[in-house]
Amino acid sequence: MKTKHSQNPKQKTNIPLWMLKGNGQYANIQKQTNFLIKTVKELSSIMQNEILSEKFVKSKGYLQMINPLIKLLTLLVFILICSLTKSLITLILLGFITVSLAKLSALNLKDYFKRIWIILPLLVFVFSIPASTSLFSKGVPLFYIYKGLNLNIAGISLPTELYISFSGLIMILKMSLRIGVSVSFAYLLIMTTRWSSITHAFSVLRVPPLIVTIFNMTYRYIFILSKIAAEMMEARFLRTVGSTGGKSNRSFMASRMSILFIKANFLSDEIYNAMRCRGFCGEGVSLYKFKIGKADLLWIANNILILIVLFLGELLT
Amino acid sequence: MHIPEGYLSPQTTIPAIAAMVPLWAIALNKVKKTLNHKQIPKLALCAAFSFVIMMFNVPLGESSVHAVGAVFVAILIGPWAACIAVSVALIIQAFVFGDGGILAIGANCFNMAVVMPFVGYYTYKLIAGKSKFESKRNMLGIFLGSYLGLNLAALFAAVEFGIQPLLFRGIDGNPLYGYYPLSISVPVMMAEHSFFAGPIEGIITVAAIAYIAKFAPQLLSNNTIQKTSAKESFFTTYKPVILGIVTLVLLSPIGLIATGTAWGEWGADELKEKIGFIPQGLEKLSEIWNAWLPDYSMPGFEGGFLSSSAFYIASAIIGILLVASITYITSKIAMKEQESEN
Repeated sequence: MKTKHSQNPKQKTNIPLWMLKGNGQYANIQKQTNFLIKTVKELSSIMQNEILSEKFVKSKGYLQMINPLIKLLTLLVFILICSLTKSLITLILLGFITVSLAKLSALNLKDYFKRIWIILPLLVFVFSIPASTSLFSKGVPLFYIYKGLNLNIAGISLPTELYISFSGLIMILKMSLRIGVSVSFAYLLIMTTRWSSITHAFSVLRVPPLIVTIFNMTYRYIFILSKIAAEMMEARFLRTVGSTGGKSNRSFMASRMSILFIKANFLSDEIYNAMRCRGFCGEGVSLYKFKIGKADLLWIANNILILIVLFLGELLT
Repeated sequence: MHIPEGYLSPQTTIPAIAAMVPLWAIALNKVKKTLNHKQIPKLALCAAFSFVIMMFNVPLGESSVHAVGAVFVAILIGPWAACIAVSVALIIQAFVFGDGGILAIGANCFNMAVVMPFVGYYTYKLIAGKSKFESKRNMLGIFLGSYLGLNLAALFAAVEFGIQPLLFRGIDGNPLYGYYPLSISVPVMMAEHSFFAGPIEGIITVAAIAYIAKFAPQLLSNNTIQKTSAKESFFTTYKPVILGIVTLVLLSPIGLIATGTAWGEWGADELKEKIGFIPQGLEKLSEIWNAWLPDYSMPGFEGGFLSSSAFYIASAIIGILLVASITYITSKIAMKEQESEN
């Protein structure tokens, strides 16, 4: 910073140079507010998720026109099969089914891959690599990490050979695939169905009306409370100057937790009064009426055929 | 601590859900006793609150850990109401945000909505006794309650992980689900939770409760959704929890019996044993299949890497083509139907 009004020669703007500099000198603050940024990001992902799902629920696609109850049940059956199967082929097939359903339901495939496959399955795969070694799983060696070693460190003797086995690799591949595929089915459900129709499906499945009401109200107020919480974090972030210690940051989080609780409590009283004014007498009413159309029958037929293919595949391999 | 889908075997997750159902019913009944309409929004708001605070990153050195907050909720509204609130939050997380599996809901709720609030709440009650809210003894109770609650929940999760390789192994002897045994899962989980997450959870809960005691003391005294009477004996107080654990124990052998052979991996002979006959068509199909891929041996991968991967690729392609064409055709018909209806 030479003069107060020195300008960046490359950009013809009036922004002073010090403003354009990266905040290297404030790196300390950045480190200190990392937890705030993380919390805000996680809280705002709730809203992102909702906006995205609202967009896809409205678009015309295959899954969107299926009766929510039938969709919920079939996708749960798929998740169960995914959990029961021991065959890699079945898992690959199920994975393929999720991708094709995402495509046919006009979902954004890029978002689907980014959200489902990049994070959890990959993470699980990496964390599982030790499990594929001869320490945990037996099988035909695929490649050796070391061989013919006689080491004895502080009384603990290492195994003479360590290798990654073929079946060990298949095992961890299955695990990551299974996780990815199950999460995909959950993603398909929520991206094509409103939460209120899912809870209505719950009530058709004899979940007590009280619980269904709580589910509906909770979902609604998650957004309000997360917005309040995110604003608290932002306010603290903007006010952070100088150095703050971990202790003060922790006590900040604790006090925000209790403030949020006090606010939620206050809100619940007001909501109750508002509900009473509108004639609430203990049970929520759903505006949905489920009917089974031709599309649903076709969907059921489609899935029975898929199940037969999967079952035959399992049987014959 | 959210257990993802597929890491636990269905023989673990389904009994866990089965054990949770009576627990939820009892919790609901307990809450209902003191529940007027007013408590419905309160429970919903508490559930939303539990959901949101699970996203709070609490700074720890350069890094940060997540708070769970189940003990905080339990102290404020009672353990039964906390069980419902945290369960609702966990179920929404599983369905809507993919945090924790849908089948794993039973296990996750058991760890975080039963073990954690109950252990935390009763530890707190035991230590705090009738001491005043601002007293040191009370604060110690809150700290130890949330510390123990979180750690026991983590221990339960670690045991659920750790028993998987003991119980479920495929034909080749390799684990089918979680592969790290108890000797690894327990120390890893416990080290993390007893040294880092546990103390943080304790400090945060103490500070948050102290804050509420200072600024909104009325929330701590008369507004709890469900008051537990101190007169009840140990067994009546813990009956549902004991019941849940007993159900879990009783149900798990059923899963074991069912895993005599891996599901769906029955050969034609075994199928005959199981259901008494083999559908004739199936036998024929099996012959055709065997003719296509002669000399193929699957389980031990004796065929070596190349031939088995060739088999995998071939059968995957056949399957994909079948499934794709079925789905594509039905979806097109369904879409057309829908359009003509509108």
